Amino acid sequence: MNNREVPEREKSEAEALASALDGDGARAVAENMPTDALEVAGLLRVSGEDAGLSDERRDAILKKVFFSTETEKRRVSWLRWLVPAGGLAAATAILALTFTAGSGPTPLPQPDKSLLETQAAVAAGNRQAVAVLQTKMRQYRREMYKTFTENYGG
Amino acid sequence: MKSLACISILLIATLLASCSRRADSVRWVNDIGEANQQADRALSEGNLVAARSILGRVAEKPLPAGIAQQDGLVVRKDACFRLAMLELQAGRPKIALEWADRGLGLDRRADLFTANLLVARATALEAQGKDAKAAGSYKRALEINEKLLKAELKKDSGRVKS
Repeated sequence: MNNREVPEREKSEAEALASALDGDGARAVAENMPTDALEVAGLLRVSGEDAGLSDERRDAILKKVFFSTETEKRRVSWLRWLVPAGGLAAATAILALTFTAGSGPTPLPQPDKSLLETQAAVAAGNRQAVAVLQTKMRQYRREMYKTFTENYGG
Repeated sequence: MKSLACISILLIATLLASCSRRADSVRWVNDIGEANQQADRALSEGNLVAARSILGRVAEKPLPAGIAQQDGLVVRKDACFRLAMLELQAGRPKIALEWADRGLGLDRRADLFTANLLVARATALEAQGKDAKAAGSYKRALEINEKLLKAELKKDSGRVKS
């Protein structure tokens, strides 16, 4: 036998089932007995009186019906949560994608040797190189904005 | 059913927010690119006033949520460098120094833009007769430049080997 503690709800349902078997259908309905089990209880009570069904056999049939109804109830309640939970998971995934995509810095083009050499010349005091640095920076900037456009769209 | 409706609303709101965020980023990139081209045109026509105004707007432009902070800093630092060079050209080294310092105040990582700002700063200091201070900025600019050049040469030699 199973040694688990029987919850209060199951106890009251079992009592209601017993009442149904004893012919007290009104009480069984009031106790919210599972409908399937209630119907079988009614059938068993009627057939048991005439067909000579033993008490043990009757109890075994009822137990089977009673627990299969309970399992189905649990399955339905689990499915009821599956839809919102799935939706919530999808929403979270979309949020995560939305707020992470494109938020990393754009990998900028590496400044070429010629630009860096010009910059070094200006830093070393060559005034003639200033205009060249500005021209090379214009070219570099174009490359940089092209990269930004690729990263962010446009 | 209520839960489903709530989730659908949440999903639609998220998608709308995502579209709006993306549109802001695209607009920012387009605006900044266009502003730099306008500034180039103004400078080539010798219109320093227009160039100053355009670049000033680039330096101040707020960063939309979808743009990486680092990308925003690069754009602002570059605008500060351009403004510093413009003020040097206009014979206003004090203002040039302010723009260079403002750019350096944003971020000092060793990149092309910081080296440019240090060059502009040194030139502005030199123009004000502050040679010792200028030498310090030139030195730091050259250190960064050397580092970048080494990285470029390393990449170059890697390309030759492969």
